[in-house]
Amino acid sequence: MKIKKDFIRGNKKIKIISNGGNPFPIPESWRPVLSKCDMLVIIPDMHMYIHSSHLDNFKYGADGMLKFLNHLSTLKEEMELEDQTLRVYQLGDLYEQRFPGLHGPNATAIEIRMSHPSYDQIVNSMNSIRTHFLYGNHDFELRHFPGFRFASLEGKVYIEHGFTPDSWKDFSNPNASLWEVGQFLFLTIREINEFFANLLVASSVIQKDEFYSWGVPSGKDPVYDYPSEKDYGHCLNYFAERMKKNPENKETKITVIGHTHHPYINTDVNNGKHIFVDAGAWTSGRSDFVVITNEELAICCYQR
Amino acid sequence: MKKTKQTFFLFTSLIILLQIGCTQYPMVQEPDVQKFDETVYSEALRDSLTQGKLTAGMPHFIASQLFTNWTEGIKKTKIPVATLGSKQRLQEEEGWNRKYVDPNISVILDEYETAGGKLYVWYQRPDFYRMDVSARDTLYVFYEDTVYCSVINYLNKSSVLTIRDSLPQIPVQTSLFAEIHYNDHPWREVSYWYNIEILSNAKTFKLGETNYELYPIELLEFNNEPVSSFKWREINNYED
Repeated sequence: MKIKKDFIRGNKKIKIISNGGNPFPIPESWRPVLSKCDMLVIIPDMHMYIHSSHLDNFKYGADGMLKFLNHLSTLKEEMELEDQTLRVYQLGDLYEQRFPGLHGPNATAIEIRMSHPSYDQIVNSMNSIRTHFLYGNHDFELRHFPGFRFASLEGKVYIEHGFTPDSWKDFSNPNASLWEVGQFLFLTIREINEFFANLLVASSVIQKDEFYSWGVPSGKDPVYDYPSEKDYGHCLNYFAERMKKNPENKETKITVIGHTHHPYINTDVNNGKHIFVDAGAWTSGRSDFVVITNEELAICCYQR
Repeated sequence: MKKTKQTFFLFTSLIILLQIGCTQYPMVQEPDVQKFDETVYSEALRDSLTQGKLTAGMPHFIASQLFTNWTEGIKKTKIPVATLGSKQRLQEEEGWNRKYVDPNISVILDEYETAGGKLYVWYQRPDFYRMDVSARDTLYVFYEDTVYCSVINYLNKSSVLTIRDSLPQIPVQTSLFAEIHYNDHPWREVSYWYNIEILSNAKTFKLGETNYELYPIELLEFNNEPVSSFKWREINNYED
């Protein structure tokens, strides 16, 4: 299946941002890379947070997400009529549970989901197209519940949120020894952040709905670029090494992660033996996702 | 010592009396009838709304609209609970006091304290399994002043069902109001569906996009008693 012909299908909102706007061909010798489906769509970090909060930077991309899910729903139904399967993944960090909550120190998935009709509708739409959910470091609590996994293998494609290479210093690896301390500090900083935001609203310096989260872009302005590959971080080496050394899954050819919010493809990992993909993010202005078929792969974005 | 006790007693009594005297509940608001009529085609529910009754089957946004101005009254909304009738907020804890809740919870509770007593409203994310729909129940679809009905043949999945007779008159990709009349149900005769769509085979219906504003109210409790309806205009009169 071809990405432009069979996935985009003339939808002018969808653009390929990697490889100069063209899909990468999957090497002939690897095909088929998918075993249980014909097309894989992977949605990265969304960080949905309480809609009315100054700290929520997903809200600006929510309408775009609803339209994109509608595209996937129609595509899935049409593919089913032709006995083909579209499988959708959400890579983790669907919810932002590391920020303050309404009924406790941190926000819960239900609080976030029920904070706005669009947010509830997004999760309902994802469920209706049978999205497979992974958990990330910002919604790590979801590991307790059915339907949320750490990682998944789809044929020769390995999918994981991508927090495993992080050390304790990043405050973003739940397996790190100082995770609890880090989260406590992080949550305290965000509570102070919210206090000052409310203070600024009270003194009419900022509007009630204005974004005010330290160190996080608001997402009000869309970002459709493909950032420089030179700036990509430490995840590549870690996952390249894992694909090289992994004796149990020799067949794994492609690794897809999220977590960094930096869309990136490297098709020459381990001298061309593997492909590494970072799906980017659907937050802070970005609206990236990955499409993989047995013939091609690409990082795309959905324009608002 | 005795004098101190008397003063304390008088002061406390005064505070309590002042609290009782000053307790004022905001007015229950009238809901948006036009929005309701665009969403709900059931004569029974429309009659209830006209008579000032909040009843099971109405979409949740009606309850929200009634208590729009409830900023000063006690109001707890969107409480995740395990089942209809349960009042226990679901919440778990791990690590350093971090809270979490199962994101798949589908039953939600609102609690409002009114002049006439406490009102509890349970509503849930609808699907055909949860609402006990089964084969041989009858589906009524409302489209352009006509009601089309057909017996349900089978449930394809929780969000899709197929009827016995095809209905080619109904266009695809149209948001439709529907009712399901149960063939044999212990406590419910009918359920209401605000957004369903027919597929191109003219026999299969799927649930359309929905959110908590359109979840149906399933159960009401007022003054610790299950009630069939909550008469909001009487509550406003009670305050007068």
